[in-house]
Amino acid sequence: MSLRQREEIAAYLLVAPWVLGLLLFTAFPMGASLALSFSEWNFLGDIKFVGLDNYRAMFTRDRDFVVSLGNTAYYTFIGVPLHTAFALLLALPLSSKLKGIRYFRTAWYVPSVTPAVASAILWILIYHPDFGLANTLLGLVKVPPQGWIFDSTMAKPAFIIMSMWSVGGQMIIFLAGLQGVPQELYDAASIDGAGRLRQFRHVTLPLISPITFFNLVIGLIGSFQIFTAAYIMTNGGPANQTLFYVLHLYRNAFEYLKFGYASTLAWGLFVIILFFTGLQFLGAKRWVYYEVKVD
Amino acid sequence: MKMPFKKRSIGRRTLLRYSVAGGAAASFAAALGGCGETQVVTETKIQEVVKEVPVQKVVTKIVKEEVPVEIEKVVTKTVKEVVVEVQEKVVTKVVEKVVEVEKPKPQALTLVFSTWWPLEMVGHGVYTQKYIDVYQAKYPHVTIEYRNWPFGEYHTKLLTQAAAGTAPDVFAYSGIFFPKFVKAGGAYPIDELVRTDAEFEIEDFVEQSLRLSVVDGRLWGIPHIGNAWAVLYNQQVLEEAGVEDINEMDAAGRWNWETHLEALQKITTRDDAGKAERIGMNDPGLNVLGIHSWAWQNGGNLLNQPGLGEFVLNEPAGVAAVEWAADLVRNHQVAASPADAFGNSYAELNNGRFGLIYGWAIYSRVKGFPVDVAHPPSGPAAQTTVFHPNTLGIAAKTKFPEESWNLIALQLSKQGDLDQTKIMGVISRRKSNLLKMAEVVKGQFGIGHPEVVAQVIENGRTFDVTEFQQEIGNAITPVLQQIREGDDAQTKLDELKPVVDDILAPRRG
Repeated sequence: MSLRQREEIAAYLLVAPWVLGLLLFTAFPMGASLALSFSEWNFLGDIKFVGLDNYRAMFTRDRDFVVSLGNTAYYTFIGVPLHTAFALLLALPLSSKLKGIRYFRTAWYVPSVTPAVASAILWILIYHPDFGLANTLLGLVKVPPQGWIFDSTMAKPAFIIMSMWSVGGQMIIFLAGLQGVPQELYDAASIDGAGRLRQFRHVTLPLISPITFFNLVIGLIGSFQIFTAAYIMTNGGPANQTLFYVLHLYRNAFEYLKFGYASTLAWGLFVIILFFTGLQFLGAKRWVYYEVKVD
Repeated sequence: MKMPFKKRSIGRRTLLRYSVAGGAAASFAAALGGCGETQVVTETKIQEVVKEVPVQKVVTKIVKEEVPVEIEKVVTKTVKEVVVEVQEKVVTKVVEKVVEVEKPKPQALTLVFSTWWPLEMVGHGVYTQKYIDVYQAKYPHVTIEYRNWPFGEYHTKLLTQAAAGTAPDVFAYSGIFFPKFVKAGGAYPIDELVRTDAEFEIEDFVEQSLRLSVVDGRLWGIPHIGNAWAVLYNQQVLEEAGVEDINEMDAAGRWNWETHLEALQKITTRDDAGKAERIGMNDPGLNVLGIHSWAWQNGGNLLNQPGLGEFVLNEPAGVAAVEWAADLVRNHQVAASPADAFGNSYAELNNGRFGLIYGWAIYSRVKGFPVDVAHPPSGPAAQTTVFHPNTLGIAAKTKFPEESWNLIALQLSKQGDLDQTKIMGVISRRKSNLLKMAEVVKGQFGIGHPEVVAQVIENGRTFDVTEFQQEIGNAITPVLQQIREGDDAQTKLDELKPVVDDILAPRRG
């Protein structure tokens, strides 16, 4: 056996675990869920093929599909830009070389690695109408207490505010991007008479635009899949205001035992996310700048 | 074949001779019987019968019968019947031997049992541990492996385990969710196990308590840790607010929706900013379960047939009931809003923030506080109450249905049923225990009117739930919340009707 052949075999052996993992734990479940989306299955009984019935039901009979999609869109299209902007604003001072700055970076990053369940329970307490931190802080500036997650008009904004707490992940990525902006560009802009704001507008933002784009894409994908917080904190209430798409999907699967229909919803979500991610990529051509041209 | 015979007289000597001959034959038969696997002879009976038969031939008939006895031993019974036909008479001797054989020890096995509470939990855990210990002492070959998960994930976990074929052999299940699990094929039918257990006496259970365990005409579970929907009130708060004792009002026939509202208004106090310091009652139950009682009291209903039918809450009586309950929060502001009701209702009752709560009469949560229990107020149509049992069931794929049943039967025996009140502070469901339950509640929890709960159990109704309970709940509850926040009840309930009817359509076929 030649050296080349031996190297080829070694290469296949090395990638085999990954390929097997992909096939077993990603490709096969995806294929199975696609097949199930054309079926009726209660998880314990036989699978019955129903053709396109589930897809028809999704668009014509399922009122909660529309409600949950609307809630998720609200949360995503308001929350993700705010979340990304906040992460960037936070990264700016944290990219400076002040003494002890690492501790601040750690402090902001830690919440993003806190388990979602623990975060949700903590935020229930923060939003407690009587002794929660949120109303206490509002009280300091003479703002009347709010119902937060118990009030149907405040519930979704409360979830968006809560999402800011886990800004650390995006903030770290921005931090890396900011530190990669060459100092000489700021120096040149400064010589040209640009102030800090203009430097930020014309140097920083364009140069970190790939980072911003990445954060927006990842943020949108994650945001469409919000589940844990809604499941634990409100279970969709009050008055379905926090019935997000994945919570609706979960209910269909594990509460109503409609696994076929839940698979249909899952593929619906896949298509929706694919569509908006595609839109982002199309729009990115207008505002994302790479140092090297990418075809 | 029956043969004709001729009656003749015989002498004493002849009889003796034949007897001796018969005895010899019997001894031979006994010797034959002893050739089996028998080990210990415990009893021998010899019976002599003299019959007159035609004299033709000698017939020997051997009958061997094995009778398995369930618990302790196998009894082998060997009978040899020898019929000797002689000239004039036949003497038949029957020798019966009862032989005991020691049964091999039952094979050791592990039974998995699950609920949603840990064994360390006061009340529920203590009760469960007690009956696991009793069971293992009674059936030493069985080891109970106990599992528990929090209620929020419990039913999902059980479902996935059932799909994987690894569900616990015996499990507790929320009564309102149980019909769906049965319909999906997760449970084992127990009709036959119940029928053959003479000691269990299923007829002793209050009929309504079994309703959620009967699906498609078969029994799938036995009611377990249930509770009665009643009014629990803080006597001290009512006294301070100048409200007459509720049970006294009820006895005088004056505990109705109007006096209920008056009481709540007296109890509720607010500070200068309008924030409630003390609230009349907890959330009045504007959800799929809580609304049952209000609707029934007003002559309305959720569905026009329990567990089946069509949605009828949008009819006038139902609409008025929903408006009444919603108004307690939105207009009268004497019942807690979801924000007010954030804390544990029992804790708020005990600390005096709520004057009364409308919910499950769980005595262990109010022990040591000046709390009493009363019926819900009488509505325009009736004074109705609700009680709700959970279920103990057996997994569809269990390998040990009999052992599983024994665990259920022990926990829900008459003593087990009563122990649920004594140890857990929940209700009994056996008719024979209702009076005893009231005594226990009075003595152990200091409740002044324990007979109220016994009456709820005897006369109350269970929820109108079906295997579509969760779908219906998720459809109805948000609408009731919208009505509480000011939406028009009639409009919203009319919009809801086709949604719920659509969910129930498969049920109606």
